[in-house]
Amino acid sequence: MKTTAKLFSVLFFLMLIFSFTPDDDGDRLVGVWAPSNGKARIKVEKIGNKYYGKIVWLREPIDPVTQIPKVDKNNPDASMQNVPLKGYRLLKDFIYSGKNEWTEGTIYDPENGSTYSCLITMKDNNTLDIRGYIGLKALGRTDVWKRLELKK
Amino acid sequence: MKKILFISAVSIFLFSCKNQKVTSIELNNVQLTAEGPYYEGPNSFQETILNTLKNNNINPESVEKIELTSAILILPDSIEDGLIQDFSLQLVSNTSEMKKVAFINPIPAGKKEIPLTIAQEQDGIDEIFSKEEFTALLDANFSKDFETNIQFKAKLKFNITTH
Amino acid sequence: MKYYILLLFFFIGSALFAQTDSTKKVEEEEDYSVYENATSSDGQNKTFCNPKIFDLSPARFISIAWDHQLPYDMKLSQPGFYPKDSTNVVPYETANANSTSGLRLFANIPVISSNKFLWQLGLNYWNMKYVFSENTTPTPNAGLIQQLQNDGLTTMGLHSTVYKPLNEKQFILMQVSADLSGNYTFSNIQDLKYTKYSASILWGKRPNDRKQWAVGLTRTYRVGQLNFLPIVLYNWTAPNRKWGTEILFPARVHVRKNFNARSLVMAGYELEGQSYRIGGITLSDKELEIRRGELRLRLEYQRQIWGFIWGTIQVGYRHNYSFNADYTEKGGSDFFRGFVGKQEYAMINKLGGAPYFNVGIHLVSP
Repeated sequence: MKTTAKLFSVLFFLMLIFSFTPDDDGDRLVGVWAPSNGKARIKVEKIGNKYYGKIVWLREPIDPVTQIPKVDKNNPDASMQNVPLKGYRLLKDFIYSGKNEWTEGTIYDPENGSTYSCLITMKDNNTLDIRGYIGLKALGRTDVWKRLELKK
Repeated sequence: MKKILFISAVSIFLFSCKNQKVTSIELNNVQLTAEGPYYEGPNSFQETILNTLKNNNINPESVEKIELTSAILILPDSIEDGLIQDFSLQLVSNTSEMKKVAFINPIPAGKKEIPLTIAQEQDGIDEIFSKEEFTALLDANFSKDFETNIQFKAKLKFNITTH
Repeated sequence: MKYYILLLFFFIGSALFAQTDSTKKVEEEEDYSVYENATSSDGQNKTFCNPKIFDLSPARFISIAWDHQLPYDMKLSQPGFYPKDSTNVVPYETANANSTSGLRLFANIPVISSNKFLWQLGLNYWNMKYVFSENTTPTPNAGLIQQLQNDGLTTMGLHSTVYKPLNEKQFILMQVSADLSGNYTFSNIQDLKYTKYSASILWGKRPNDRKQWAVGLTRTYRVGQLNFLPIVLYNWTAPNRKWGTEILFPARVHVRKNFNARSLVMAGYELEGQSYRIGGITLSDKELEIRRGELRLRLEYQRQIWGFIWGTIQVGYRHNYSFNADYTEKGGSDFFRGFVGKQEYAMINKLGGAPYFNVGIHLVSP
């Protein structure tokens, strides 16, 4: 009986520990981030069980040639070339796969209309490595994004 | 010999076509909602849509292709001209990639029923429909802050090709 | 029974402590206007300049190309000692090269690729096979034309490129390469002591997304013999993003016309060349090196084929700058003549100009 009681006590404490563990570490990605070139700010949000990042601010929102807000003029689908960049979801379909990594998603580069496979790694709570690549992770480039605090 | 080959080719073509069927379905009451207040910039409205294929007696495994053929957005009366600069409509499910299917920029003035421009590339919509639920997500770029709650109604038409 | 009740309480307790759904619903209030005044959470906001500017022709990870020159004449002197400015040297061998063609392979793979540092390692393989017509003057077995016909000319090399942005506007670019060039084949590779080394270093600025310039120095074999030259980089894209330049003077100068994000055309020139050690020609205590340098005027069309696979078609005219040969010491050491040195040549050779074309397929970089 004593042994059984001890066993249940251990089980109880284990359950307490696991129930305090956040059930979705992936939500740490949610927030506003700035790529290293400082030209845009990206807001990451969760829709369903996946993470998406959209442009919420552009340093140069107006196209100097057309003098209207910048649009996705390099999109390979001609019918989508008038979609405005503000609000555009650059990061799509990321799933948290543990170990501070978000995978299975893509990143879109409006500068050339290309979509790349992408791996997001959280280096610390305020720093992301965003690696866009083609095929192999070696054939790509990493950009460092910083979390932004919003002034009220 | 040439005749036999020609007849065979035509027969194969007709046989493969015969097995395909295109069904048109309409979702006439998609209510895209988001809690206000809304702030200048992009705001997102959504609705979860359930059992579309099942409700139209379509077996998901028989689906070859799904195309959005029409998307009409109905603006509530509280929306004045110029409040919203553009709309983008996306479809997504938990197990498929988000797909931008329609948009409009700029929004024509003086109209309450807005037909959206449909994307030419529509690969992957069948995957979105294959599960029992998916989400329609409408991004609206507001030109200024707006306090009143808004709900957009959308009428979506799809062509579903099955075998 | 009481143990079952205890178990029940444990599970209920877990449920009570379980996390609430932390999904950030899209419908929640968001104050988009505050994005104007956001700052970095840890105070670090350093930005670094990108190695590219808008609308540059895409950088290549892997390239496979075929290069082909149309017929031209070749006049080669007998090995001897010829003053640098020799003229009217009587040819010892003459030939009509029906074609000069070969495979060009290139790979440039990032080892470290981040916004603060870019290091790429690469290798290249160029081969030129010569096909001569029958009206070649009779040549001794050890003649140069015979050697070229047997094995052609091959270059294999390794290179390492480092791009280091210093801040948002300034950067350093460095490259070193090692090339083994000669009339060898895979089954009979030349001794590595004949490797030639080149290096370049530039410092530059990227004032905005449409302009990038740099100045520096290079040690190069690009026009066939060893030279030390100043170099200027100037990449520019017009405000309408339809035109631009891609210049690394004096090595190459191009004007670019962008049709869209997936196709463009370039017009200009490139200097090519290497110093090739020729085996099979017996000299008592010397080696023979051909200093091949050529100017290629060209038009190149680049287009996306699918995804990150691009194709190129290049047509142009190859003007021969140098095909003279030098004696070098056995053991692989070289000497520096540059533009002002007076060392004599071992052979004075003339090649006629020729139209050429080059078709390639490339895996390009994001």
